[in-house]
Amino acid sequence: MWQIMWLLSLVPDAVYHVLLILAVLAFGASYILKMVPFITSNALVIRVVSAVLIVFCTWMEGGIANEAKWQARVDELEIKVAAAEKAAVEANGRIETVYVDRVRVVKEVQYVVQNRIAKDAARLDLTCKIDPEAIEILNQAAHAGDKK
Amino acid sequence: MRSAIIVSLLFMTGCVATPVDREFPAVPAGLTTACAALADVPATDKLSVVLTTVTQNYAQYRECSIRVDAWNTWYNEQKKIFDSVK
Repeated sequence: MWQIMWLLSLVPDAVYHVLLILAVLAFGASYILKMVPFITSNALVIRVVSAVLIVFCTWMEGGIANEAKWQARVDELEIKVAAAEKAAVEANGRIETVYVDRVRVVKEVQYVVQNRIAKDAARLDLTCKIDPEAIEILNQAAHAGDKK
Repeated sequence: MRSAIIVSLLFMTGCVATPVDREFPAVPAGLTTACAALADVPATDKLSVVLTTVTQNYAQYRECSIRVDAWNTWYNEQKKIFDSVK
């Protein structure tokens, strides 16, 4: 069925507008212009054909209007999606920058702390001896909840 | 009956989807790194060695915590942006 619709969509919209107007005029003419011999002799055929055309063209006009409405909605959404994609890229950049900055601060502080420990190592080691059990407890605590 | 089927089929042709492709944005690579396991304190009786390992672990935890924060911020912001398109 979509193939039929696709074929019909190839016809310019103006054709349906003109065809509808002509069909309405022909339908009216079949009643009004009784003095024209051709119309009088073919009145029934003209009425049937023009009525069929009116129904078909009205249906197509509805389709055209509906299509235009949806196309406008799609265009609107595409603009919104493009804006959202731009905002997403900007947010990504902003979040990554904040993350990198915070990690850098942690590394800087860690560097300072490690230097301080190294500087005071002799004094620290002289005044405090660590029991091996303390290390075992620390390591056990460090691995609590690890994946098996 | 046959005409009714044909007419209803014709009307159904109006129900054509008009999709607008969308994808949820990709997360920055830095945020997808898994947190490393905490380091063990080597066998020693020196406080400086213990302190070095413990402070390393603290720093590692801080890094991991920042990553989780960043991930949460990223998801919440991206979801807000994604949901704003209607």
